Amino acid sequence: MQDDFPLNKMKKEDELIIRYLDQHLSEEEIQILDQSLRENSALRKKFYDQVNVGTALEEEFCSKLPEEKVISFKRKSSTVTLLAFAASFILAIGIIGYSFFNTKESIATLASNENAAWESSLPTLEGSELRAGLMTLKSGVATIRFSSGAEVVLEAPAEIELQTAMQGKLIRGNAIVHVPDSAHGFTLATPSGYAVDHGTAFGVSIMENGKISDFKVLEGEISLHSPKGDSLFLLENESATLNDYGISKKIVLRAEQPIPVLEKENNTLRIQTAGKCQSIIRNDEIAYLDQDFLMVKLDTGSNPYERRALFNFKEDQVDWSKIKKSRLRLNLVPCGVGHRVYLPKTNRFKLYALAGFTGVESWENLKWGEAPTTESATLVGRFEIPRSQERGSITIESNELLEFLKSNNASEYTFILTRETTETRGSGMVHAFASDSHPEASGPTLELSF
Amino acid sequence: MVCGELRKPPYTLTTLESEEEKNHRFLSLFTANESSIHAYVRRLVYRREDASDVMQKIAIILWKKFDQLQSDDDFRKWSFGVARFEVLAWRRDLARERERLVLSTETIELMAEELDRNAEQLDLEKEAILQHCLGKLKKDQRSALQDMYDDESNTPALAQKFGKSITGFYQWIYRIRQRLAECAKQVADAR
Repeated sequence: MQDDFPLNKMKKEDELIIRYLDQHLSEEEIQILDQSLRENSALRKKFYDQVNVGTALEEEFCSKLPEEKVISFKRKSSTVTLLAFAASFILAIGIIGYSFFNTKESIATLASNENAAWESSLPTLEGSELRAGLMTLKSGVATIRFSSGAEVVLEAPAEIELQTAMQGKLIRGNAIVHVPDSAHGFTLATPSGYAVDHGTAFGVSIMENGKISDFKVLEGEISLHSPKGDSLFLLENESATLNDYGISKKIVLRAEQPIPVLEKENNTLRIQTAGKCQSIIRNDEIAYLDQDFLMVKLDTGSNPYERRALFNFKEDQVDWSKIKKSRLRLNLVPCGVGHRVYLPKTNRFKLYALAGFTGVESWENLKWGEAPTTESATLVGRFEIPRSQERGSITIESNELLEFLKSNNASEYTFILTRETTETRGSGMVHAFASDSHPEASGPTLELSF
Repeated sequence: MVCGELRKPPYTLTTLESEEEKNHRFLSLFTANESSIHAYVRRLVYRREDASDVMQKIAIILWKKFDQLQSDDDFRKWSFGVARFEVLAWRRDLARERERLVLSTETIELMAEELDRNAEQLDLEKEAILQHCLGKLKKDQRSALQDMYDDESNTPALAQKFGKSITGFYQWIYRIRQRLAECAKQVADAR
């Protein structure tokens, strides 16, 4: 193919097309391209040609599933090969146990993806059914729910091998494992040994080289087992390390103290609310609230059933001004109040923060009138939840949050969570997040990195 | 009068299709058309991940509504109809932040219609590119095209690597791709 292109300059619109396909256009330029495409059918034809070339190039150059490779070179191949390719789509539909094409059983679901980028031959879309296999999370956060009920929240970069409904292997990265009663005995293996869960929730952090695994029990108890055969029981707030030499000594911390989890060179602290979290309802009818949930429902100023959630983090032992990164994690859980269909497709939430002591003495039975309001608070985060989502881990990591925590010179912070969007009819759903006392999911967690 | 032997009516052999047979039929039809549907979606949907999402929705709907399909011969037309619907739904439901970076709904609708009509021709051309035209590229031309699909690279750096200005680089890439399209048309027309 010749390379002697004519010297006359490329037309402006042609350039817009190629830049668009390379995702290198500004909003204004996109609008120009958009209009030109609508008005000019010859330009559209050029666009189709370029886009078609793009599909060919993608097939040629982009990493493919092994099955896909077979298909592109053997169009008229046998039924077996064709079916192997279809399997990757059909799996998501869940034709499980259909022996005709030997799908392996699904042992987990990809419960949620938050800005997650995956590398895996397993399906990686939210809601996908997962069978045994390897998954690499390159960025973001994701939650995998094993069919036993155990949930693993992964933070990139991480690599996990799904083994059975009751066992997974974290090869590297950080994870928090939540285990409900139905899955007691769930095992999380690591390169240096494994942990068996005996009740509720623990965090694991594996160093880059995969040789050291830190375990910390958030709730309940786990037992650690090294390949050598020794084992150690860890209770709530205790942590230990597994490495090539075996199991380290326990590090026992008092409940109020921060629980440091070492993450490569950085120090990351995870702080919980220690019970200081509650929902309030405008009419103060506590029958409409539940201690296990932090409930939120639109605030218009007059609906007696409006709710908002408040929670507080306190930490004296730390220099807040030295934080490099801050992240607030909430777990969205179903609470069964109201109807999902009466919600708009996207629900927007706002998170406000107040620094220092806000006058709340007791976090039990807090009344609407007594609670701090958003008037004097600072908006530190916003997020959206599609109405179809019933559960998942919500992470707020904004500049506003970081700046607020760094520059306020306080050791305690109170957050107010409200919902901005309303329902399309009455009885719309109340959104709920796990509070500290939720039986399955962990309550609000503030993560600080130094 | 002779009653004669009671004759049993000839039962048709295709009574209820078994689950297995139905699955087999679906899979055969689906796999035969999957590549074409995927290419159609990909021409309209901006990002690979989104195209993948849309494909999955299409696959699920096709499977769920498979019983409604009257004849196997209609599968292609029907699946393209579903695909068009889902692409438009994807565009309609794009979050506000994202839609600024994508062509408008009107344009996508217009293109969806034209691309549906031209799907077979474009598929032939795509095959021609893969099996014939790509092989005619010079080494550096192929290399440049390939590098653009490398997740780790960025275009300004690539422009530099190939000794061109950014605008010059884009022109170059556009023209290589245009040549591929022209080659493809020649090959496809010759068939």
